[in-house]
Amino acid sequence: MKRREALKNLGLATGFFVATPTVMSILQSCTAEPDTWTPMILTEEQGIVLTKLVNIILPNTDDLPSVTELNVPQFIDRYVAEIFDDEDQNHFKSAFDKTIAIVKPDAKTDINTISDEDYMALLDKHMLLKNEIDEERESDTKFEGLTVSEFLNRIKSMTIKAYKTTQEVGENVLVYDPVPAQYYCGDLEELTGGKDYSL
Amino acid sequence: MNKNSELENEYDAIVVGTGISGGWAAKELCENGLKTLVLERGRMVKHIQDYPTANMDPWDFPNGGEPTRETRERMPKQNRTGFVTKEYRKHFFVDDLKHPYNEKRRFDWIRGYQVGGRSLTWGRQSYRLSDLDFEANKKEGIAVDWPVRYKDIAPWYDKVEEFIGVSGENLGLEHFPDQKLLKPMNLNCVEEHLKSKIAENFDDGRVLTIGRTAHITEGTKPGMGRSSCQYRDRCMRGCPFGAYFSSNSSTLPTAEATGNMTLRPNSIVHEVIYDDKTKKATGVRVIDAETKESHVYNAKVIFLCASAMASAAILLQSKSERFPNGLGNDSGELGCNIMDHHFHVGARAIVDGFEDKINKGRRANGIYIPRFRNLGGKTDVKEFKRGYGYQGSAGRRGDSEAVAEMKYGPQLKEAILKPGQWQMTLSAFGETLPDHNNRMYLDYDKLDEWGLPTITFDADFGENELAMRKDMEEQAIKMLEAAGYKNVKGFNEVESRAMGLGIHEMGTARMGHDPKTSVLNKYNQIHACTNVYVTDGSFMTSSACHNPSLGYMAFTARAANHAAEELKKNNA
Repeated sequence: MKRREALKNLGLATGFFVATPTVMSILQSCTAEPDTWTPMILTEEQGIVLTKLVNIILPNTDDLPSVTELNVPQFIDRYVAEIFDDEDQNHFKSAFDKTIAIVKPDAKTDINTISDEDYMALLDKHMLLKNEIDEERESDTKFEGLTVSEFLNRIKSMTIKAYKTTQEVGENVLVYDPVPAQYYCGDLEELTGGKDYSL
Repeated sequence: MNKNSELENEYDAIVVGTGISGGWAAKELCENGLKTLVLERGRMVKHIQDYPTANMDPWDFPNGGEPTRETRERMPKQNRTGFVTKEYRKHFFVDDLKHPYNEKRRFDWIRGYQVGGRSLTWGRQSYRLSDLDFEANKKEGIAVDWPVRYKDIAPWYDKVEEFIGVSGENLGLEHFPDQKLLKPMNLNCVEEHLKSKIAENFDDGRVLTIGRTAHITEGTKPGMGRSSCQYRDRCMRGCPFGAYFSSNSSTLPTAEATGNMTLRPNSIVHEVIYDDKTKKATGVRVIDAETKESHVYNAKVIFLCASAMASAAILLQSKSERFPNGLGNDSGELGCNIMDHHFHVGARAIVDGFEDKINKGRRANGIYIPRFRNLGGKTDVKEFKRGYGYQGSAGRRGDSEAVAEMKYGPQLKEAILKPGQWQMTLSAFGETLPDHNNRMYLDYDKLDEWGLPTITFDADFGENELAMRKDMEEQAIKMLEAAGYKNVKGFNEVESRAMGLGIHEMGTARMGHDPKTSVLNKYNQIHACTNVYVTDGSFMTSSACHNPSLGYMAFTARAANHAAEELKKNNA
C-alpha cells in the first residue's frame, strides 16, 4: 500500500486520530491488508471482526465516504476504551467473543478466512430488529451482560454514531449549519434537500 | 487585576461571588460610587477569550465530546446531571474530588467555580414571581410569610430585564406577570399546532407560549459587545456573541467601567467578621485558593452572593460570642428550608403530519405552559398545594424510522442521513414547599484542602411534591393526546429524584418579618447585623414553580441600592 493511502485510511488528515507508536508501526510495516490495525482495548481478532462488521453495516458506495476511510472501527474501539466503565467494557468484550464464536466453525479457525457472506449470515440471523424475539434474552431476562443481538445492535448504533460524528460526514455529507442566525420551521426540501443537519 | 500585594484592605463594599447575583451587586454598588472589592473563589474567566470550546464541532473532540471515564471519576456528582460533564463544557463545572461535600440524603450540588459562576451555564429561562407566590405561605399557614409583595419588586424586575435583555411574549395573566420583553423567538410548526389544540381542548386557562429567555433577539444591550442570538445552541460553553446574559458579558464589565471595582479571583471567603461593639460586620476572611495565604478585607457593607449553599456555609462558619451558631442564626433557620424544583416528569409523543418540515437553526429555548393549578375556582385541586409549569419543545430527533427497520446495507447508509421523526416533549417543573427538616450543616471532621469544613446535605422532596407529580404526568399525557399525537408516553422518574438536580437550590437564609423565624429582613439584610446582605438563592421564602435567577437579580439590585442609600444616610 502506498504510504499516502495508508495515511488516508487512518484518517490522519482529518486530525481525528492521534498517531501513536502502534499506528506508526502499522504505517511502517505497510501491510497489504488495511484491516490490520492495533486497537486500544479490543483484541486483534475483535479488531478484525469489528472492521468487517462496520463495512457490512455501512458498505462502500459510490457517493458516500467509506467507514474505513473515516476510521469508524478506530472510533468505536477508542469509545469503548475511554468512555465505557469497567463493567460495560467486560460485557462488551465477552459478548464480542460470544459473537465471534458463532462465526468461527471452530476455535482454531483463522479469523481472516471468514467471508463477508458469513458475517451477513450472522447479522441476518442474530441482529434482531424490534419486532423479532431475542430468545437469548427471553431465556434469561436478568442476564446483566449483552446478548448477541444486543451486542450486534450496539455495534450498529455505534457505527452510525461514529460515521455521523466525523468531520467529513458532518461538513460535507449532512447539512452543516454552524451559525444559523435565525430560527423557524421551514420546508424540508428547501432547507436541507431532505437530509438531516450534522449539529 | 491588581496583584494581591497591591490590594488595599479597606473598601466601601465587598461582594462575595460573581455569579448571577454577585455580578448585579457589583454593578449596582459600583454605579452608586462605592469602592467595591469583588471576591471569587474560582479562576478568572474573561468574556469570549476564555470560552475555548465555543466554536468547536463534535468531531473536534475525541468520542464526540462524551465525558470520558477519567472525567466521570473526577466529577461523579456533577455527572449526575448527564450533561454538564460533556468535554466541551466540563471546564465550567467543579472537580468533585477537589471540592467534596457529604450526603446524609442524596443531594446533587452542581457548581461552577469561576468568575461568572453559573451565570455562564444557567438555563436562562426568566420569569417573575407574582403575588400568587408572595402570598401563598401566609394564606396556607406554611413556613413564614414573604416580607415583600409584587409591587415592591416589580420596578426592579423592570430594571433588570431592560438591562440584560429577555425575549418572550406577554400574556396579561395576573399570576404570571408581564415583563419588559424583547421580541419572542418563534415556535416551530408542531409547537404552534399543540398551542392551538390546547386552546381548543382545555377551558381552565392553560396556554402554551414561547419560553421567556435571557437572550437578545433585537438590538444590543450594555456590557462587553452583546448582540443577537445566532441560534447555535452552544450557550453553556460561553457565547462569543454575548447573546445571552452572563456576569462576564454584562454586569462585571459594567462594574469594571465605573473604575470602582477591584476583582480578586482565587479568593475563598470563609468568614464574615462581626464586631460586637458596633453590632456590625467589619469585613471578611479569605484564603487564597492557590497560595493558601490568609487575608482580611474590610468594608462598610458586605454582600454574600456565593450561592444558597456557599453563603449559608460562610455564615455558619462566622461564629462569635454574639452568634455562636453562625452569623445571623438567632432563629436556627440558617441552612434549613432547602428547596429546589422537582422535575423529570411529564410526557412525550411522536407527531405525524409534518414530515415535509424541519427547523432552521437550533433554538436554545423551548415552550412554556405557565402554572394553571390552584389559581382559584375550577383550577383548584385537592390533592396538592401550589402548582407547576411545563417546559419542552418539538423537534426531529434521533435517526429516521427506516434505520430501525434495517440491519445493514447501502439503504441503511442512506437512511442514517435523513432526519428523525417529530417528537414533542412536555417536562414539568414543580414548586417545592419549604420544610425546616430539609437542611445543610457543616462537618468539621471532614475538611477540604484549605482546612475548611465541608457541607453535609440532608434533604428530600415531600408528600406534596410527590402528589403533585401524578398530576404533572397526567396532564402532560392529556394535552398530547388531545392534540392527536401518537405513542404518547408519560414519565415520572420519582425513584431517581434528588434535591439539587434542578440546580435551583435555595432557601437557606430565608426572608421574613420576624427575626425569631427568619434570617433576613425584607431588604435581604441579616436581621441583627444589617450591613450584611444575602442576595443569592438563600433568601427565598418559598420556591414558586419557575426558574428563579431573574428574581435573584431583581432582589440583588434592590438590596444594593438600599445599601448605597443607607451608607449615604450612615445607617448601614
